[in-house]
Amino acid sequence: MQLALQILVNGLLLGGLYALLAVGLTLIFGVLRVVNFAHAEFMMLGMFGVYWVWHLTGLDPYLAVLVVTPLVLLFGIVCDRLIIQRTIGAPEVTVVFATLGLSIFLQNAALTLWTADIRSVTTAYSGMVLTPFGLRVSVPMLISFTVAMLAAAGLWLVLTRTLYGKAIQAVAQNREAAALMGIDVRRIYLWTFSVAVAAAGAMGGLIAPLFTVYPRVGISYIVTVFVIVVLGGLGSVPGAVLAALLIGLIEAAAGFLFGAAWAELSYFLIFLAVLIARPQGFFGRRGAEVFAGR
Amino acid sequence: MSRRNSTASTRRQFRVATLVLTLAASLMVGQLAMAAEPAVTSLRLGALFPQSGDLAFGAADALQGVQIAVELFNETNEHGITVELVTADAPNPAGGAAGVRQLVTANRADVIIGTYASAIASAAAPAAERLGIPYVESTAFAEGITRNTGNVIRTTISSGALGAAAMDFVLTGLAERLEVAEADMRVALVYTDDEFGVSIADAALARLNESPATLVLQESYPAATTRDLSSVLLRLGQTEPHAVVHIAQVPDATLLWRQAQQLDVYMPAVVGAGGGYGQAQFAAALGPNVNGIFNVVPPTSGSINTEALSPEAQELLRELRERVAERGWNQGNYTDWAFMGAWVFLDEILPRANSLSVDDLMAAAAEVEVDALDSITGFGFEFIPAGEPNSGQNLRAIPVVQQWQEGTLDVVYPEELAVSEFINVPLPTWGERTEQIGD
Repeated sequence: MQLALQILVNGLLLGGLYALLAVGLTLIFGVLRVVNFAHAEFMMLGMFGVYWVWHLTGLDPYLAVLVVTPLVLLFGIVCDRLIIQRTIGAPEVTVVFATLGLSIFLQNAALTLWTADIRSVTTAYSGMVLTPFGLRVSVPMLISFTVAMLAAAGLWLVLTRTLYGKAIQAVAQNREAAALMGIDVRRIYLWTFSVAVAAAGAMGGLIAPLFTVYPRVGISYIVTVFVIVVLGGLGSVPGAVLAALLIGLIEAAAGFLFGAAWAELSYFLIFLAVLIARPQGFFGRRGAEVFAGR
Repeated sequence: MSRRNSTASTRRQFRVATLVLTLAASLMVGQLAMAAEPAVTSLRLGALFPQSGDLAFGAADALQGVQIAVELFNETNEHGITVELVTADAPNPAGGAAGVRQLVTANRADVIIGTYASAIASAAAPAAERLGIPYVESTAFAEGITRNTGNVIRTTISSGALGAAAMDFVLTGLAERLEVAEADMRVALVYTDDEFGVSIADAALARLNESPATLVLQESYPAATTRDLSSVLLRLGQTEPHAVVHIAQVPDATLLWRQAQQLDVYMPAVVGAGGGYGQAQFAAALGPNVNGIFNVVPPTSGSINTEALSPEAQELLRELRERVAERGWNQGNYTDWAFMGAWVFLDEILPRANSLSVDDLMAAAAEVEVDALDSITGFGFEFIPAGEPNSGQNLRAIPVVQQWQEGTLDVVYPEELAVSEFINVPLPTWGERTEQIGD
């Protein structure tokens, strides 16, 4: 029983890490209709940012996240202006190659700037754990999980309870009609993309004390996060969170029951099974083009 | 026998003896002439290493080792051989095969030297073989590189030898230090599911199967995409091994240890086999917790008593160190292995070769014998001749067991090569570690 609970905790904490990345990715797709292959590279930038702030100033990594996240947001604005805005309305293949190109560019820029050295942030609390009911809960993982859940909940509230959120939904539903109603579509796109990639940067910063930092670290996340977004339903924030937690649980449980080699394979099998039964994912609508924020 | 017959016989013997001496003298003159003027007088050497991507950081050391070897050889060799170095990037297996084509067709390389990563070498060496180009492997370990090709001269160790040595240490030296009989040893094997990990694990398993010891856990995982090893650790915790052999790169090796601490999974001894366990980045990530972890690798100048080397080897090492320092480079394990591998190829094999063909270079390699004390790495060179299984493999590349002690890797086994005593056997529990760090 204790072991099963420990696997449950491990899986949920892991899923929490995926959730913050997945929420941003699903938001970008739902609103901008852009499949952002560079999403995990913004996470990588967040990791490097926190590493350098911690390394050069000695500032605590979690405080460094507060410095780095706005910088990633600013960089997101630049990327949106220079690349994303120019692909809106273009053929899908153009969008795919634009974000794929951005991904490769960012990886190689990081490689050039910071070399391929593998770096790590070590703190006194890197190995700190809480032990409720005899379970072992990593404090850095718990912090990341909590921030991810709060951020996802906050984002969902903004999208569903505020006028600005309703404007975002309107743009997602019909760009032209929203523009005719006086909504500044370009501005909505700009902030949606920037906030989503800033969330990825924040997530990168939060996990920097847990994982090693190197230019291609994003590659190990991006496929899983796409699976989560599709499983949750394209454009659905709650769907992304639910799917992220489910994937984390499957990864932890299958890894224990069948061996680590089966962890990825297991969630891909379940992913395929869900898509056969419900092609639009948990919360997506049939056709999967419309963002609902719910 | 009559005197006449006897005289004739003596004359015949004299003529035969004269002929033999003349032939011998001719051969000696020929040999001397060959020594002074080798058949090969120039070489375009293609260096194929990852210069971009994940592997670039370690591979940079290897490429720098080759560059210095070529530079030094051009300045000092007495054979009149000139070597031109051309390079190509090989970030992954497909890039490795493409790099071979680039080096051979565009850069007109006669011989290729590489490769740092086993997966890349496993693609690049056969690509070179198809083009009839000899391939010197200075740094990649996978068994198949020499087993499946006929054009490779590998100066470093094979994964077979590495895996076998790691398991052999677990079952002998480590078991003795843990005060556990070999038959009672419980061993876990955890490895990445790439060419590097699988080839070492296979050899380790083969050695374990010869022993009465028990394999309590065998786990592989995808190195490129693994973000969580908690399931592996929970299984390790349940099986309670005396020793874990872990074949990993830096990110997953670091992840295993960080999560072991979080989950309080105790491992009495862990033996890495090359890869991440030998990297400074791994030690930096673990801090004081790294002390006591083992790593099995071919030795390097940084891990042996270099004062025991021959004066020539010490001079070679001095040159390497000076040139690395002049450029502000790092002299890591791969610098040493690549430098010495390139040096042996240039200084020992090349002057003996009748041409730059695969056959002639393999034949020349088979004549080479370099003593361990004449090598900056502390292991010698003797290559398996062409036509035999695993041809081209350096038989004298024998690994040693290093242990992280105060942030550096010291050789602790075998005893005759050890520069330090064992520490932390068995490793402290996580509770004890916290106290130590807190102190």
